[in-house]
Amino acid sequence: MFFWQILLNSLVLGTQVLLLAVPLYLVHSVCRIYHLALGASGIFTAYALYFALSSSWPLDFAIIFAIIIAIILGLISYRLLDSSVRKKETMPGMLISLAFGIILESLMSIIFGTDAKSLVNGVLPVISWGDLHITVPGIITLAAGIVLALIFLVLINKTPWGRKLTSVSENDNLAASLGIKASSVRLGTFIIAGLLAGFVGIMTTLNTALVPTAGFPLVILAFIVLLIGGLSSLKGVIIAAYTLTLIPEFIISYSGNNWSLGDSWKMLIVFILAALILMWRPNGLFISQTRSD
Amino acid sequence: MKKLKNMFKIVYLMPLLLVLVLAGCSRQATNNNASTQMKTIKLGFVMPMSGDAAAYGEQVQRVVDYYLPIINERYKDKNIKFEAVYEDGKCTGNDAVSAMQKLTDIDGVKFIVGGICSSETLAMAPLSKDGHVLILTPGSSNIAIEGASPYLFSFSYRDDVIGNKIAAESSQYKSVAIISEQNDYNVGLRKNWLEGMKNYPDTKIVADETFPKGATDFRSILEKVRKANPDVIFLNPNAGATAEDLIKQLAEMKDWNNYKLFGQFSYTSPEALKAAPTKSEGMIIVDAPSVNNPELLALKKDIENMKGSLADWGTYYTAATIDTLNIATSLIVELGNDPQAVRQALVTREFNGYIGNNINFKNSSFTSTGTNVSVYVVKNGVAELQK
Repeated sequence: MFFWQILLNSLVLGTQVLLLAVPLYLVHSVCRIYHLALGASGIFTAYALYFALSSSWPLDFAIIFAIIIAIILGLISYRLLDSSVRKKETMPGMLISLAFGIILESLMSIIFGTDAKSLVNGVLPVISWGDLHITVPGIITLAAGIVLALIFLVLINKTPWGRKLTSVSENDNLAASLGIKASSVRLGTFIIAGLLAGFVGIMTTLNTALVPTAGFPLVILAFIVLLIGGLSSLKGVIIAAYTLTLIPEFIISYSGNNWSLGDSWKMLIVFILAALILMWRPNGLFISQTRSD
Repeated sequence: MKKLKNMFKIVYLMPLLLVLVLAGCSRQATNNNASTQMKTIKLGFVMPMSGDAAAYGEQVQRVVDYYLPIINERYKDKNIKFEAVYEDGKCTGNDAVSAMQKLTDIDGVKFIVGGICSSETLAMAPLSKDGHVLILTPGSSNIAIEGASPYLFSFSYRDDVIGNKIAAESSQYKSVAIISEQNDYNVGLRKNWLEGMKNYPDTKIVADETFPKGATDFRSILEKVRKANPDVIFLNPNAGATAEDLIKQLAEMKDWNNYKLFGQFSYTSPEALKAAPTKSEGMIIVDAPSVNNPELLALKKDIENMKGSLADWGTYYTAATIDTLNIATSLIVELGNDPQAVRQALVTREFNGYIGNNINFKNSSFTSTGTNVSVYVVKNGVAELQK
């Protein structure tokens, strides 16, 4: 039973990472930029929800407010990064995104303080099957992760929107000559990324605690997942997200007696794994062939 | 005509003369004021005013805001006034060092009260070694404070005393587990508890788990501890949200109840106990001795009525804060704003206070009174002192 419980806990953590890796993947696919502000953007949305709930707003208004904030953050990201995207300046784009993330984190610390907050007071509701148990936010995260991963797999591979996205990502000038407005595709991508990041921000902090810095470790994990999964393969991102969370969780959970590894080892194991995989496959595990510029 | 001119001169000159006379009087009055002007001495305070442990900083500030005017009233005749300058140590070493440097370099402070977290105090200690500033902490308990600097003294109890007591209490069971946060206070307490457990070989330590500062998800750690099936779980997180989250996530595991919970200072807070009231019921908490001096209790009640709750800071630390203020200010008034002279007095004299009547630092950086601890049991959401 211990194995299954650790698996369940790890799947929730893996899904949180996946839900942030998917928007990171989308933005990178379309804009060739690592949008590292997505972690802070997600947590900012969670703080917006916290603000609305603690101001005694009705739940539906609070959710609408959080969605509006997520969209606004998507729009701001688009405005900040579009110039770098058009000039194909990958590194400055990443730095602008990182700076935006740090600004968001600092704003959260200044406005709400650095102490942890709870979106829900008291013990979270739990669903149990025999000895197995999972929190309600945990199961929502798990379900949403599976559903969204499937939706995006279908959307990208089987729909006109996916084909537009792929064409813009491969050659936006050629796409423009075919009547595809690259800027609209990019704007849509940033908004979808903002909404997904907001969702994962809320779900992650609902399951644990709300702190301004919660987004950074998550986005770093999602970034590593993106590198390992292969920058052009959503399937690879999905597999890498679960691999990179399950392996450290199981190593730590099964370590014991004189060789018990604490939770502090988690990131160390992740980085060792990432280094080993990238040494073996520098372009990631699931790289697909594309026509080069 | 000449007489008229003279009269005009007198009329013009009289006001001028009057102005000069008044100016002279005024100058004399100013000089008199200068001779009776208050001498202001700044006391620096480094404590967590943001972050998870902010509640403690806020409560120390309430005590100081209430009590410093009383001290100033006491020394009014000596024309000495103490002024508090607060800086946020954020319960971290780096921030405490920045706060201390600001206090000493910009504000010219020579006496610092704080830090509250051991991480703050231990980081500031090396900077005081040259004697340009004296640090008096009312709340840091890590035994590494002992000898860390000749200009650092703690009015708190020591962690080894707490660690040994928790070890003694948990030795009544066959197997124990500990879950600790990785910061100076909790690492120090864990180390002392492990040392204490060596005296009880019949009690087996079946799990010794740690998690990094700032962690929010403890579910896998708790599963690991559950697998070890201990009779006792000693929760050793830092105060604030981490302590609350840890017990909340433990409470999510509703079918696991065959253990006794032990806690430390972090679980004396009503907020921490409220986070998972059912789980915390019956928890055994070992902490600083409860101070039952009626005068202190009346003072604490007044502070709470006027400034706000001191529930997290408790009686011992409120007493320690007031004693720190009383002893520091009395020595400064007597010996001047001189850290070295005050240090010399601290290591040679004995003082009376609310935490005890023989407070001295003759042989230790810790107060001689910090050797007793109390055991509390949580009943109806409140940590009740066990006699």
